[in-house]
Amino acid sequence: MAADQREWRIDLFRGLALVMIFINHIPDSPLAPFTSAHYGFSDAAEGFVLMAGIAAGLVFLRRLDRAGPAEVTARAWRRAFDLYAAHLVIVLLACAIVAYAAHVEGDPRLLGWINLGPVFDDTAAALLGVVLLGHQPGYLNILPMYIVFLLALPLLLPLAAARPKLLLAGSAALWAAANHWNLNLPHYPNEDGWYFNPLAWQFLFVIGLVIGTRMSRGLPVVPRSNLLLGAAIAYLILAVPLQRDEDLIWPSLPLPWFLYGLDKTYLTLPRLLHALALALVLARLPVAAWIARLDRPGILVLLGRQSLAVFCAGSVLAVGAQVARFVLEAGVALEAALVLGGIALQVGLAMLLAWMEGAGRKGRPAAVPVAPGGRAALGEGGGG
Amino acid sequence: MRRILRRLVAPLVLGLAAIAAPAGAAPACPQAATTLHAPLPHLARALASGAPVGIVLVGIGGSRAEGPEGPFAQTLAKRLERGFGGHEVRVQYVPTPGMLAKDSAERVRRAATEAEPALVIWRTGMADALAMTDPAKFGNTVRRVAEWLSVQSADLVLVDLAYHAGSAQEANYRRYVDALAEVGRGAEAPVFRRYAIMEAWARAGATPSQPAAAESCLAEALAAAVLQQAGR
Repeated sequence: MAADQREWRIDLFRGLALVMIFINHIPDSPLAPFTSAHYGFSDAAEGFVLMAGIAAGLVFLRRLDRAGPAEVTARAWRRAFDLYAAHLVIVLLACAIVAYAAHVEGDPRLLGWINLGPVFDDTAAALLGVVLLGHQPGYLNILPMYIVFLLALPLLLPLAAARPKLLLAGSAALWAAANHWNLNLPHYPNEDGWYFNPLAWQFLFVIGLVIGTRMSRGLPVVPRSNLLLGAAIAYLILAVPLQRDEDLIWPSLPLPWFLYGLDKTYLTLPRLLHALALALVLARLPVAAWIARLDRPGILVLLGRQSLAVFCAGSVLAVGAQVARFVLEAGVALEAALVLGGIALQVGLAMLLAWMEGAGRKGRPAAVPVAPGGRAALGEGGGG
Repeated sequence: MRRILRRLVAPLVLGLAAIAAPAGAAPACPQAATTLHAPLPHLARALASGAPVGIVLVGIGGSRAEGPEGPFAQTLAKRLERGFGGHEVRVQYVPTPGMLAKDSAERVRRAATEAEPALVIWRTGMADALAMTDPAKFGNTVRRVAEWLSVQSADLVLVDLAYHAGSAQEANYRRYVDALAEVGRGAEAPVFRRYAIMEAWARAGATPSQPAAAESCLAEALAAAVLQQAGR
């Protein structure tokens, strides 16, 4: 399979994950049945982190080979700063939306929305927490985790390329240790850990990174075992009734909790396996081609290529949609309109940015080489 | 790491707080007629055995002591510890800031698996009300946790939502208050009716002027209700 086609599939699935994340950020909306979270243990966040790792491996390994570790460090950390700045902007916008709603409604309870309470009630401490990434509002907590991954990338990338088994073993050990001893980065001022615990989620990112580096080198990455494929399909099918059964009481087993619990913060084993099983099935079966046939204009690929901007816009729009749904006491029709309208705005933004990039390329001197199809944006835009 | 962070920022925060917050004595608590409508057999059994009593507080506390939620957690823990006499009480906080019940449920299960408490007090519903999740699904999630805890030999006390007079969205909040009451009736998980108490205070014009004082008063009432059901 050509490298371009592989990257096209990553863009497509990343675009799909962005749409699902947006829908998931407006809980129990009429479009919830169109998300993977409705049918299994993992949700679009797992897929997104895995693909961020793959994209980082694809883009940054080329840069490592071409320009060396100093260039990779500079680029990755610069990208981390971009994500940090984007994160601060979307937190500020979310605060403004919630503050406006609370003011208009005259209801201080609204100030506690998505864990923004400390920003308004304990402002001095919360502002320090926000800039130190210690205070992360709900639904706005993926970017801080990805910033940590980008900061660690100069260390992880050479290992992923040269000693992938060692890196995977170390990463798995850290994931297990974080789960077993409840290790997490601290929240501040709340006495809590990060919602997306980087010490646990790094395992999925590293798996993606190793896949991406192998793809970059043209090495096989998808296990060809039909037995494994069958097991993955069976696991995904088994997860559907377990997820959908509203009367199921999750059992207590004589095992460490993370081996059978479903805690998203710690990316417990059933969630991790579900995400990997889904990735295997999507890689082995021609699902991307089926989706692309349905999406002839290539909207999902377009969204995936502008992932950071689309993610940021989607995060703010989701908070706005939640607030609008609450204040307007929206019925099903208006809820659906809010979700679909939010997706349409994100598509519009992605089209605008693609057009601007195209216009920018036309204006450049002919001597400047340009990657086809805006490829350079792929891995570096993986934060969203 | 948290300790280092705290050490770095605490002087600044305390300094700002000292400038902003006037000192004042806490007012006396208004009347809060509440009883828990179901017994707490696992807590009573743990107290009778003389073994240390484990209590997990979910969705309560976690904020800095200076924060508005600090007084609730602190008052509740202190009153329970005092009320249980010489018993060793181990209180564990499980913060669930802004989290929906379906996400908090995993935290409850994890904490209960690891700490094996006799009593879990779970304050929930506000995030679901704001996010307008399906009230029936919300109630079902809480009911499943209540039944699971019962199998784990732990009692569950639910704490429902906060009330604020004058909101146009009160009907929405009430849907989640009602959903919790329904769980309480079906699963024998008593509900501490915070919403009703705060509404009664507002109607009587008795709401403490400082939010922290109101939180302390609510915690006092909850502790008294728990101690009463535990035969203390």
